[in-house]
Amino acid sequence: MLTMVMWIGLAGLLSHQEKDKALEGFVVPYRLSKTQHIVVRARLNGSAPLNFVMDTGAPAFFVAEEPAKKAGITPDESGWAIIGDLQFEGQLKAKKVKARIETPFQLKGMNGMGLAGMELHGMIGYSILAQYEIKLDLKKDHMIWTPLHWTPPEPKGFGGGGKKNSQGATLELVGSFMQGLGSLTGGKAALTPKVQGFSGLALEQNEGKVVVSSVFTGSPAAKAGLMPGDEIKRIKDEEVKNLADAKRKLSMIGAPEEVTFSLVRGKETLSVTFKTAFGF
Amino acid sequence: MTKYILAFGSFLLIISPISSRETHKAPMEILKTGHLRIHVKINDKGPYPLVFDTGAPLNLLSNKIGKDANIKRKPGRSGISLMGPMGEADIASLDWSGATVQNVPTMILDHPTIKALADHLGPIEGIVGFPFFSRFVMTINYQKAQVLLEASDYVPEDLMKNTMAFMFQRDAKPLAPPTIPTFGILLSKEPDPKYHGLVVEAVLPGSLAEKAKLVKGDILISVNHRWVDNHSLLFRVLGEQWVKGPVDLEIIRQGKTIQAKLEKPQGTSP
Repeated sequence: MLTMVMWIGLAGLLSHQEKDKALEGFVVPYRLSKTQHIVVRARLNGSAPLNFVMDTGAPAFFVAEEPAKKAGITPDESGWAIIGDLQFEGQLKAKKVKARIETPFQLKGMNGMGLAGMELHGMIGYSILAQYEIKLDLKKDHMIWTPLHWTPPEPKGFGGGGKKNSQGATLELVGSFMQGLGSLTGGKAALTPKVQGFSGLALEQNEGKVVVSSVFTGSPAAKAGLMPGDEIKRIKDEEVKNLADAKRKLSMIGAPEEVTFSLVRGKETLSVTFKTAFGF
Repeated sequence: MTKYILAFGSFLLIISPISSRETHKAPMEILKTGHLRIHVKINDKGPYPLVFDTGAPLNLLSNKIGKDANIKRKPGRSGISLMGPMGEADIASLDWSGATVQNVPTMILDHPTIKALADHLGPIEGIVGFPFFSRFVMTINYQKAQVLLEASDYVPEDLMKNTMAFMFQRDAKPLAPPTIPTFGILLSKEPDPKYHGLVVEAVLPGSLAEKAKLVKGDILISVNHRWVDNHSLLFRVLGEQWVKGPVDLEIIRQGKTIQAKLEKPQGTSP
């Protein structure tokens, strides 16, 4: 994401790790968004976790206005704020980090279209990235960030305020480019992983039958009266073919969701209905 | 004789990805704005000045480079945009200080942001992004003004191709969700508003959660070092392929952070 910003000559307040693990790297987990952005999660002053793009194309640490407001961060007149406590997912913590409170148009565009499969709340750019040696291997689920013991030069801006309008116009054009890209890429991508409902059953295959091997005490299945030895014939009115099929059917059930099992217990045929719970 | 040479040739081809797995030291220039300028050869032409951007999901090159380096545009994927001619193409070879990738997708477009940057910072003709750097294990060091690049087996998805496929396979059957092991923890529907974790509502007797000494009221903050501030994230972490052994938990109990470990489950029935 290529971002420009008007730099105001604020003194560089740079972050310091709480525990200075000299020369040792910090594990910084990330996820790849559907838009192929490297997304790192962070909490600002104890806020709910927010999603940031690891972005060498951004000169600063950008936090969108809305999440900044929710985290109780108020920018100064020039749009900057100092975040007292920045905590990354994983191990890394930093104090007194300078952030630009602004919603870059690229984020607006992507969030508007839901392209990334997650909401993006900002970008981690030069002012933070330059302080670490960053190792990224896309075959791993985390980066290693090793603190560099130096003070990166303060980035310099694009001159006076007179340029702001012409820049604004330029950025707007880029915004329309992003939207053009959006129409190419087919709009919203729904990629939230499905929450699986908890029933508390263990199953096994026994002479071609799918049978309850155990039921967790206190689980929804136990409360509904399912018992070890029950043969499962149907789940949600669909025939159970084998153990793998039964497991697949169970994993498709959300939480909380009502589910009916058709059972054979001894010579009796019965049906049991319960609501799955949140849990695992 | 020719036969042997051919055979030897194809042998070289097969082993070349491994033998070329050296680490390339690629220099970069930190511009006064904090952006990174690098010099890249394209189809053996150049080097051209480009911005190295880990936030860019696409490569982007100017029409000038497109012409100069003889980049073949994909038929039917080109046209005129608000910003002039634009198109999609594959770069036959992209080389940054010896770190080379073949057949890299790019957009060809004269982008106004690039122009605005170049006006202030000197020559910049495009962006190198994900389709290039994802092919390497990459170590960025601003202090040394250098990126170490070591070839990787990672194969990036073609963003364009992928989303087209996504569009046409909308009605395709969704993949079966992963089978999540049973640990015997019942959780609150909503996360705790202060700690942003899921609250343990019950620990089932005889379960691995009981064995790990979890108790009702514990707030589950992270699983295998990933925050679980909602159920969807929890299931993503539980379903990820690297969750095969014991599961590390971070818990808030009476305001204090504690660590716990769930043993690897015997069965995996839901």
